[in-house]
Amino acid sequence: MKSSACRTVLFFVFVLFTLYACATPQKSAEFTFYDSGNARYSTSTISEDFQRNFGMAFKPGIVLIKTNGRNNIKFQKQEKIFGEFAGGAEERGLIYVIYSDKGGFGDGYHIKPGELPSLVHSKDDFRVYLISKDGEILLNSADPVTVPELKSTFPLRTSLTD
Amino acid sequence: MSDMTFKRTSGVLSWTGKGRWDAVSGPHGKGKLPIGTYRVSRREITPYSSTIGLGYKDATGKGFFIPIYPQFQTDRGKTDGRLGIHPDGNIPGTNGCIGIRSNAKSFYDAIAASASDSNLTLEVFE
Repeated sequence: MKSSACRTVLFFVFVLFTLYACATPQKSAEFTFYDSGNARYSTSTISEDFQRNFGMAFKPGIVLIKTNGRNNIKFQKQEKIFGEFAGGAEERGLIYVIYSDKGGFGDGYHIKPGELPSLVHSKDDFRVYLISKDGEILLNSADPVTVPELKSTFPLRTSLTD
Repeated sequence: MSDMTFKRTSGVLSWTGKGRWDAVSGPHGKGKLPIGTYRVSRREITPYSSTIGLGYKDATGKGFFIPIYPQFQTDRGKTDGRLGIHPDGNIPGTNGCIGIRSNAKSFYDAIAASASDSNLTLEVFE
C-alpha cells in the first residue's frame, strides 16, 4: 500500500515535470553551422570562431531559417524581405543561417543536412527563429519575419561586439 | 584570365596593373561571397558621392557602389540584395559585397578611368 502510494506520487511528479518541460519555451539555442568556405562556427564559441575566420570578434544576432527548399513560397518571401532589409543586417549585426534537409545552401551560412538543431521542429516546411547575440530565442515563427519585426527584435549596433 | 581577383582569406582585392586593396566580404547577412567568376558592371557604377548609404562610404564621407554579377549558379545577389564592390563604411564588414577598407577612392578612380563598356571580370578565390 505504502509502495503503491509512493509510485502514484512519483507518477504525478513525472507527469507534472513533463508538462512543465513541454510548456516552457526553449530559451537558448546551441548549434553548429558553416559558411560558404565551409569554415565551422558554433553558437557556443561564435565570437572566437569569427575572430579565427574573419579577424573580427563578432557576436551576431542570428536569423535561423528552416525550409524544405528554395521553391518554398514562404522562403522566397523571406528572401525578398532580406533584400528590402539590405543594410539592416550590417547595422544590426545579423547573420542568416539556413537549414534544409536537402542541402543546397552552401553559398552562404548553412547547417549541414542531418545536423538539424534540437530547437528546430523537424516536420515544419518553413520556420524562422530569431536568436539574440547571447543565444536566447527571441521569436519563433511559422511565417516569414518582416522588416519591422527584425528592426524591433534586434537593436542598432555601433560595433561588432556591443 | 580575370581582370581582378579577390582572395577571401587574405582579404586582398587585386587589379592587374592598377593596384591592391585591403578588403573584406561578410560576415553579415549570408556571409562572404561564394568562390567563382563575377562580371563587374562598369556601366552601372554610381558617382563617388556623399549621398550614398552609410555602409558604402569611406572615411571622407563619400562612397560608391559597383554591382557584380555571379557567372555561376547561385541565388546570392538575386533576391536578397545585390552584390557589389564599395568602401567598407559604417560597422566593419559587409553583407557579402567586397568592402574596401582603405584607399577606396583609388579603386574608384581606376574603374572610372576605364571605358564605360569595358567587360571587366572578377575571380574570387579562397
